[in-house]
Amino acid sequence: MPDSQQRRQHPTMQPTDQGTRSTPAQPDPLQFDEALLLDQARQGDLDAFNRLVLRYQDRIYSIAYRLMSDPASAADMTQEAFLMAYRKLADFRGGSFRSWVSRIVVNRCYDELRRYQRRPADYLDDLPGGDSDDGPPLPADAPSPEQAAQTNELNAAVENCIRALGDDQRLVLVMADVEGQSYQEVAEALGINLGTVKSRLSRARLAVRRCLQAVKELLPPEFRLTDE
Amino acid sequence: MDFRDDALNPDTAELLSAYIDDALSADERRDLEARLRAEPALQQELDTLRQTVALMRALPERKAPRDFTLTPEMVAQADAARTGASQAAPQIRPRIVPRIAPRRPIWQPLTAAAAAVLIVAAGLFVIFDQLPLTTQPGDQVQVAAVFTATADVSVGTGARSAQPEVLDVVPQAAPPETAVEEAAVEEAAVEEAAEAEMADSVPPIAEEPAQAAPDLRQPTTPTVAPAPTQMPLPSPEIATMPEAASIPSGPRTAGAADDAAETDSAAESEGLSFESAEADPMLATPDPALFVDGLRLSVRAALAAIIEQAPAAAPLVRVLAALLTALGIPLP
Repeated sequence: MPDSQQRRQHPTMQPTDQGTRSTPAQPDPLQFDEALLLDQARQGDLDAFNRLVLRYQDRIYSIAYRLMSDPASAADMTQEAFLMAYRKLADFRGGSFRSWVSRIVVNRCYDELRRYQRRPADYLDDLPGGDSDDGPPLPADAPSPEQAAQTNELNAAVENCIRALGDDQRLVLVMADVEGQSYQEVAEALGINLGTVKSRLSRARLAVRRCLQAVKELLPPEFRLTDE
Repeated sequence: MDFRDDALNPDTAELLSAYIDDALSADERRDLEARLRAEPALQQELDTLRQTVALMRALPERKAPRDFTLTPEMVAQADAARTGASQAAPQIRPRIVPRIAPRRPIWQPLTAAAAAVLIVAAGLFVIFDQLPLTTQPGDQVQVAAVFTATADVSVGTGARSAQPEVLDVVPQAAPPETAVEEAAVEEAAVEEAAEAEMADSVPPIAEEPAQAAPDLRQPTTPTVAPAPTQMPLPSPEIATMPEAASIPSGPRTAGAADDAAETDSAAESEGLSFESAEADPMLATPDPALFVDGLRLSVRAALAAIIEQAPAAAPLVRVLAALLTALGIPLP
């Protein structure tokens, strides 16, 4: 039986709260009532909406960053997504606010990518060691400097491989594998059929696997097969 | 980690990928699991692919580089931008529509007309090349008629409503006596006289043809060498030939077909249409069939060229063809 929707934690990473780490701006979860904040925001309470923004901005920015492969564009898309969400709040019919804003940012990035027909490119500043590369965030309780360094390096390598994909494959891969959305959600968000989602995702995974050949030494031992 | 997707069949890879996501049907899953048990290499492919997916799923969120909280100004600006966009939409639309609309270049019909004129000119060149070298009584009339027809084709409208009236004008512009009286005059003097007369009757066009006409015919037949207006004519009937009608033949054949409108007006002023020429008894040349057939072929080729270059002008061309037929010039 495949571990279909089961998310594995990175072997070298300590489990965190769904992979997110706390930020100083994040409100206390005990005092965070999403439904109440949404009601207040619908009535024009911008402060209430901004509490939701602070809650999910890392998540939304991560999606935008991996889709756009460009920190500045990702920041623009994130800001536009929250602005659009606030102005369209009356259209939100309930459910997960995070998923709703995620769809907004995906669609916004999708439009932007279509608009400029961006090609996979190396953004030198974003490569490991580049000026604007702040690297993957450190786990809240990194086990050791060596492990943290190895994790950061491996994550950076994986992100670079994702970044090297074409737009269509990257969109599907980020939504399905990085964001954990179902085939159906991806198909609806991108306006493509399920068969296309499957084939694009398969090709994207193969491409990332091939790309990771360059960093075999970074892969955890349990990821390595017996032929080595 | 061993990557060997180059050797992996795309369909199999898709099966493995969907298997990881538990997105296979029961039959597909059963078949694949049977293959996995039988093929260790395939199982290895599945393992590496699954590990790749696990690496991506383990990616942590990135820290937002700044807070994306909204300010009242940002919201107001977005609302203003949206209002402005809706107001500006009507201004943008006209700019886009012409770009999407199919382009129909205005030069296309003009090119077709120019091509038609060139084709007719070439056809006439061939025709004249094949004509008998001796001057025939009807030659001048034929040549004038050719250019009347050429002008019709080049303009493309074909509706020459002015032609009947032109017939009345010609005798006034060139009295029959003029040709007879000047027939015996020396060549150079005759040319000057012809120029002067043509300047009176058709000032803008006639001067140039009067000078160029001899160049065409002079080498072939000495009797034609003088300007056609003063050419010695074998019979009194021929002397009644309107001199203006014969003069422009040379230069137009030589390729002065670039100003179709002027040619048209000149043909009218010169007073000969194809209809009048054909009705004229002087057209009874020794071999008129060769000339007429060549002319018809040329006109037909011109019409075909127009239709090919500008399909939109096809109805107009058909009207022209019908008009020519009505005028007694059935095309082949």
